Amino acid sequence: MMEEEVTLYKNVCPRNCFSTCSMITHVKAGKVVKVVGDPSHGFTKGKLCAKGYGYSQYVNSPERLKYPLMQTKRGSGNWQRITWDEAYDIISEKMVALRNRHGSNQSLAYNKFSGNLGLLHFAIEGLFESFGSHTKPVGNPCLGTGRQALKYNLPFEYSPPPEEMAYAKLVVIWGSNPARTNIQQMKFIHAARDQGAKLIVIDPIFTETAKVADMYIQIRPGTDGLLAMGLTKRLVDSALVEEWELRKQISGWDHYADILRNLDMKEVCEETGVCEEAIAELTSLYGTRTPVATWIGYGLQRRKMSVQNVRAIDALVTVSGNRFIKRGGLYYFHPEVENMPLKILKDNNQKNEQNREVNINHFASELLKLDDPPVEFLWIHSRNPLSQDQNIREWDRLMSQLEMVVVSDVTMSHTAKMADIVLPATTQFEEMDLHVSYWNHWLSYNQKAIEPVYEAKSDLQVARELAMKLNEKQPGFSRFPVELEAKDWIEKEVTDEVKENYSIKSWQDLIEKPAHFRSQFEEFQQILKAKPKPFTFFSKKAVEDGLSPFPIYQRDRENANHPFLLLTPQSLLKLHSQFGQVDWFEAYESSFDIKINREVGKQIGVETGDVLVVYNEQGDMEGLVELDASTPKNVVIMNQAGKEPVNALISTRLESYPGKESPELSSPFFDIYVSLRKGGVRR
Amino acid sequence: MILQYGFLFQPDRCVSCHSCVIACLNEHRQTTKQSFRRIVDVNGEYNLSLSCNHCDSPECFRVCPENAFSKRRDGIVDLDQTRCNGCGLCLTACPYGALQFNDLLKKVDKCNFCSDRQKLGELPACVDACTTSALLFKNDIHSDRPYMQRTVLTVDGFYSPLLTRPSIRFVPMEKKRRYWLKE
Ligand code: SF4
Ligand code: SF4
Ligand code: SF4
Ligand code: SF4
Repeated sequence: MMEEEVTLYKNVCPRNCFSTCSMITHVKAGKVVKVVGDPSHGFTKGKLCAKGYGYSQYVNSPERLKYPLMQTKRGSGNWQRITWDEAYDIISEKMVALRNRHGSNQSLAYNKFSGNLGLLHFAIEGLFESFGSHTKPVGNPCLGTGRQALKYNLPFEYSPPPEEMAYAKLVVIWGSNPARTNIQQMKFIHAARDQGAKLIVIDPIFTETAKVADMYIQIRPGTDGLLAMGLTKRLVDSALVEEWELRKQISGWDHYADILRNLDMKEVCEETGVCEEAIAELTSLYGTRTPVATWIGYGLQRRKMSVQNVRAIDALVTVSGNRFIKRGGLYYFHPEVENMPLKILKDNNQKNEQNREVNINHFASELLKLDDPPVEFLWIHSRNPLSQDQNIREWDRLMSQLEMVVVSDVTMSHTAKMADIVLPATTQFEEMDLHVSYWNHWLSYNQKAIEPVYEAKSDLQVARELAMKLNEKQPGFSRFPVELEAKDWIEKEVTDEVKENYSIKSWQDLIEKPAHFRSQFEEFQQILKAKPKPFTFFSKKAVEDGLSPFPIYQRDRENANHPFLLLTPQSLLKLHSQFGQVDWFEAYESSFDIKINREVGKQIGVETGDVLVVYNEQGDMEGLVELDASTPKNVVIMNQAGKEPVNALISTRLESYPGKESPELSSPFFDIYVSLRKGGVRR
Repeated sequence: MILQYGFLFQPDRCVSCHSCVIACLNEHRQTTKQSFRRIVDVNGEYNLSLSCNHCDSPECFRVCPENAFSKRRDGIVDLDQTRCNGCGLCLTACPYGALQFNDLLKKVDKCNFCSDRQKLGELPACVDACTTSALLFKNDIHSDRPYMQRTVLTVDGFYSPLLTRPSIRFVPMEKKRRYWLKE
């Protein structure tokens, strides 16, 4: 086996995943031959998920885009290979022409989200910044609602290092499925169980995580806040918590206590579908075990009223004395990417110019509305909105109206298929980068392990080369510092403050092993102590935002036209629409597209394996159905990113809040209602 | 010393993440397109991650007309592919369905307990990949060890161990509380 030298490199998985695993890449004759976990990372500890172990296939896939391509008629499939120089020529020609036509760069826009979370992937944003005022997306379609909810109750954001879950005495997971989306967390949860902790999973879907839990509580989707209030009421009633303590700590407590007193537990049970016995058991666990780690999943905050559900759960955690406690606490989101300097983005806006900002949740429709000047050029990278966004139909409309669409990606995505110019992007193995996680507190460095595959280029390389081309065509078009390489940006990014936060002397320390953020616990505890009544159960900010001042449950409206709620979780071996090119995975993905309850199947007249049509005003989709006993009767489950994107059923104009849209709120992806009919027959 | 390498499996920890399955492929990618390991869903209740069990009385060994199988001193049931004629008798003889037919080679293929890795003192790739510790490796699976008291030879969903005496033990599942929706 020793024929050829194997060289090892350190990489980081840049996917939109909680774990941000460190990986060791085996390279032989310039090719990635094997990828395994890196034991020097304290959270991932030398393991990867199944997708991670498939990375050698991902990087070497024949489906990789190899060269820049040009499509003569958008969507025609009439592709022609062009050189990078030609691509830059065409793109820069158009950019310069549009600037001259409109006297501004605001007809130039980009769209990016989480396809690659590496910090140097902000290079394209940096390039746009370097032009001056342009049009850009703002917001977070993924987890913004939950963040906002937590901010009403507590003035700062803190999600503890997830390794500490191993020391909790009770772990409660509300609406998250780490077995599929955060496999690295499971070892810390099991470690806690080995020491006698209990794992509770509250979820409408009987997930793989639910299967291994000591206690699974099935709940009607969207009613978590009511269950949390029921539990809080019981905690107070049973004197498991001291009311005078709460009054000292929580502003608005007395009023909230009144609301709880008037809560009818029979209604709680009826509406949530959770029985008294389960509530009693969970109350006693929350009341007698300490510390408790509570984890609020992102799935739970994808409905219009879910802001209130998150607030109510947070209130329960606070009342039970676990909101800010060593080895327990509330887990949601570690906002480190926002705290990093992000030099490559921010340094390029030297003139402090204001950009035209577009809510990312309604990007396509908002863009279409803009004039003076209209947007005529769109650059899409690290994103596949034609598969994953909530408003695919609007995207189709947008794409048909733009003068030029550029997409960079690793494979020919649904979005790339609609571009004029497609640019082949590097994977993490072909570029240097730096990574923080939105869950664990590690900072890690990604080495360049191989040369770019075929003619792929990194976002940074593209930004540098395009800036040069633009300046050739029109001197001063871009102020992007073309001389700086990846290494230089990494050096700039690891500022003295970053070094201090991560206890490193220089970025090179990260080559050996990732670094962990200093403990923030004491710091936040000081803030809490200094503030009278630091917890807010009466929020003026919430009132300003059109919500109840209290962390109380408010019912989501149902849909009169369609009886079923559509839930669209991740597939096992995909991350959103990524990893489709790994042929190893085909044998292990479910052969069914849709899951419904057996009794519902009986009523419609379908059996497992039959064709079922799922439809609403947006259109219809058919697929093979699987019947089971555990799916709630009003729920239809379809995994994301099937052959045809299920997001086609997601309407264009959904509000994240009652009566309100804000880019800082999540796309309400789980607020979709559908009807069902047996396949094969069309109406 | 004669050993019996074996797997210790904890169904209560397995979440069907398939890391072990793909890690096996990752390790043996040069010779096969199929993983030697698979996940079995038992009644929607729990999962088993299964490969060749390196049995003490292997049926494959017994039925093979070419004597392609051998039982090593470390307990590994080894297949000498140069002897295999592809007749497929072993495929059906194995009560665990642990063998694969390798289409590229037109011969049978199987888990070799990652013997190359073991030589270097490394864990089998699948065990190494299991982040939940559902799948563990033991040097001498049935010998008297502290874990013997709390492990059993079989669980529901696993073929009776009486025929081939497989080298795997299970930590029995605990009773779980499940509160289903009141509809
Ligand atoms: S997808 Fe997530 S768990 Fe899998 S390798 Fe990447 S970061 Fe790790
Ligand atoms: S397929 Fe090969 S190994 Fe199996 S019984 Fe036949 S000859 Fe023996
Ligand atoms: S021991 Fe090795 S060959 Fe056998 S299943 Fe595990 S990884 Fe595959
Ligand atoms: S890696 Fe472990 S938890 Fe995942 S499927 Fe395999 S045995 Fe189960």
